[in-house]
This record gives sequence, structure tokens and C-alpha cells, in this order.
Amino acid sequence: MIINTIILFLRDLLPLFILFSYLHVLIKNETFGFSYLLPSLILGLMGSVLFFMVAPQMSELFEGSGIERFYVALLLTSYSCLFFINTSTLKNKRLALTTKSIILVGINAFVIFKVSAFLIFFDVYFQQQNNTINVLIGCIIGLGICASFSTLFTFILAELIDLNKRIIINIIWALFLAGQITQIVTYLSQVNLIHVGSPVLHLGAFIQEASEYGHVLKALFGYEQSPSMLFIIIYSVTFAIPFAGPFVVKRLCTQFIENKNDEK
Amino acid sequence: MNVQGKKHTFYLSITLLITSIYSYTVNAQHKVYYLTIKHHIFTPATLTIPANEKVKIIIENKDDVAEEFDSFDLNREKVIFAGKKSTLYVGPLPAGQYQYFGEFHPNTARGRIIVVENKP
Repeated sequence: MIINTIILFLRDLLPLFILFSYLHVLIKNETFGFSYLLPSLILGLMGSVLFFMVAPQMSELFEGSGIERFYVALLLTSYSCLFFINTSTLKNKRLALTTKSIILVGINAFVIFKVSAFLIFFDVYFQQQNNTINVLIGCIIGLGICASFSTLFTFILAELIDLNKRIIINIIWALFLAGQITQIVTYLSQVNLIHVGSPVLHLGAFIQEASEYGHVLKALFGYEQSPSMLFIIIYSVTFAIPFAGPFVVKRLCTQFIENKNDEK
Repeated sequence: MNVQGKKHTFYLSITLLITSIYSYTVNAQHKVYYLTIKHHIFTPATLTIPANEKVKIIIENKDDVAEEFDSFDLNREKVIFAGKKSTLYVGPLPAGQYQYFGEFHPNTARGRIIVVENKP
């Protein structure tokens, strides 16, 4: 039970910790500090609780595909609200109000997506009274692993910025976003909304997705042990957009992100 | 063809494309298989399905807590809430064995899907 709880932490909450590590490093300016993320996190948690309460009813909507459609909407929202951020955002001393709002919406959507899955798990375990101690121990260890990983990861990202290796951060950030958004392929295919086809690669011989490494790689880059061609295409496109986008439309982004007239 | 005509052709093509994808998805007839969760155990524990074919699996949770159907082999994860039914599609898959388990009760809720070349 303890191991299972830890695995659920790695699967559901580690990506959230990783997102906050990135944001902690990528968004540092006069008008939008890390403290702005706290209200967003609280709102996200409230949204998760709300979703958790209606999830059983929602699961029966659209011939049983209600939850998947909602998850896809959340993932698309968070991707479209966060893809324009990368290390070039650090050059913006002040962020426009619209930009700040968009980032907060993106974070909210991601928090709801990840935390709601976790609440369902908690609900199940705390209904089984005999498991409470084991679950609590698992939660403490899981939280410890996520917090340690996140702290170390933030430190590495900050070091990379100091060493002027920003391109590495842009690449792994884009891989992270691509890894998250490509989960829509699984959600849509499992309720028959898209046709995916057979896997074209089998990477399970190298790293099993169910292993600890598999979970960490999944959280960092969206690792998939048997990806289909559609998965690979969507992954490539969604990687290219946040990686190249802010540079390609640099002027447009700068105008959009930074508003000189916006109050501090 | 003038600009207006090209526009109409473009919209018509898009409509036809969407309609064909929709028809393919909606009208395709899939074999249906049933799984039941009771006392945190999947019944039947082994499902045999045909290779290279997409199939529909209806999972009914008869327990009073939620369970998550999870499979790394099939790349599927779906929560089935207490007392609810849920639908899941798998495949097309090559012949072989694919393990699945209940994420919330992995010690008892375990099963496998056997994919065979000859239709069962």
C-alpha cells in the first residue's frame, strides 16, 4: 500500500512539482513573482474539489467519455496558456495583466487535472479505514520525494541559467509541455474519439513505464513505452511550438507579454 | 475557378473530411466485452480478443468505492466510479498478452487480455 501511494504521488503530483520548478525559474520579474502562483494554486485546488464532487456524474456524460473530454479540455487549456513561456520570458521586466491572467489560467487547469485524480485516490483509501496509517506514511514519503526532486530540479535549472545554457532549459521545458499535452492521445483514443493505430516502437525493453525511472521520465518528458505514430507526430509538433514559437514570433511575443503601460 | 468557388470547395472538402472521420469513428462496429469489478477483483480475469481489431470493453464497478483500470501494456487508464459502468476501447493490437490492474487495489484487482490471431 505504501509503494502504491508513492507511485501515485510520482504519477499525479510530480508533474505539478516540476511545473512549479520551471515557473519558479522562468517567471522572475517585477510584476509577477512566485508569490502570485499561490492564489492560482489555491483556486486550482478548489476547482479540483469541485470536479471531484461531480466526477461520478460527469463520467456518464457523452456515452461514458465525459471525464476524458474534460481532461482533454484542461490539458489543451494549460498548454495554450503556457506554451509562450521560455527563457526569453526572463527578459521581460514586467508582464501585462492579460499575460499574467493567461498564465494563471494555465496553472489552474493543470492543477485541476492533476489534483482531481489524486482526490479520487484519497477518497478510496480513506474509506478503507484499515489502510489509513500506510497511506499516511506513503503520502509523507511521496511528498518528500516530490519536494526533494523539485528542489533539486529548481537548483539545476537556476544553475543552467547562470551558466547561460538557456537552450537546454528551453528544450526540456518544451519536452515537458509536449509530454503533458500528448496525453490527450490516450484519452481520446480510449473513448474512441480518434483512431491511433498500433504502436510503432517498443521501448519497454529499455525502460518500463511502470518502473520508478519510467514514472520520473513520464513526469519530466511524457515518456511512453509503446508510442503510436500519431503520438510521435503530436509530440513532435507540440514540442516544436513552445521551443521555436517564442523565438519565431519574438517581436509579437514581446509586445504581448510585456506591457510598458501596465501598472506594477 | 474564382475566389468564391475555391472557398466553397475548401469548405466542402473540410466538411467531407470531418464527416468521414466522424462516420468512421461512430459507425464502426466493435465487438463488445464485459468486465466486472466486485470485491476489488476483475471478472473474468482473462479476456480473449481478436488481433488487429479495435474492441469495446464495458467495465462495471459493483464495489462501493472507485477503481482505476490501469494498463501500461495497453496504454489505458480509466476511473470507474462506485456503482457505475464505463466504456473503454482497446486495440488494434498484435497477438500477445497484455496485463492490466486496478490502480487502487493492485494486489487483488489484476487481469490480462490475451490477443489472438484467430477470432475467438
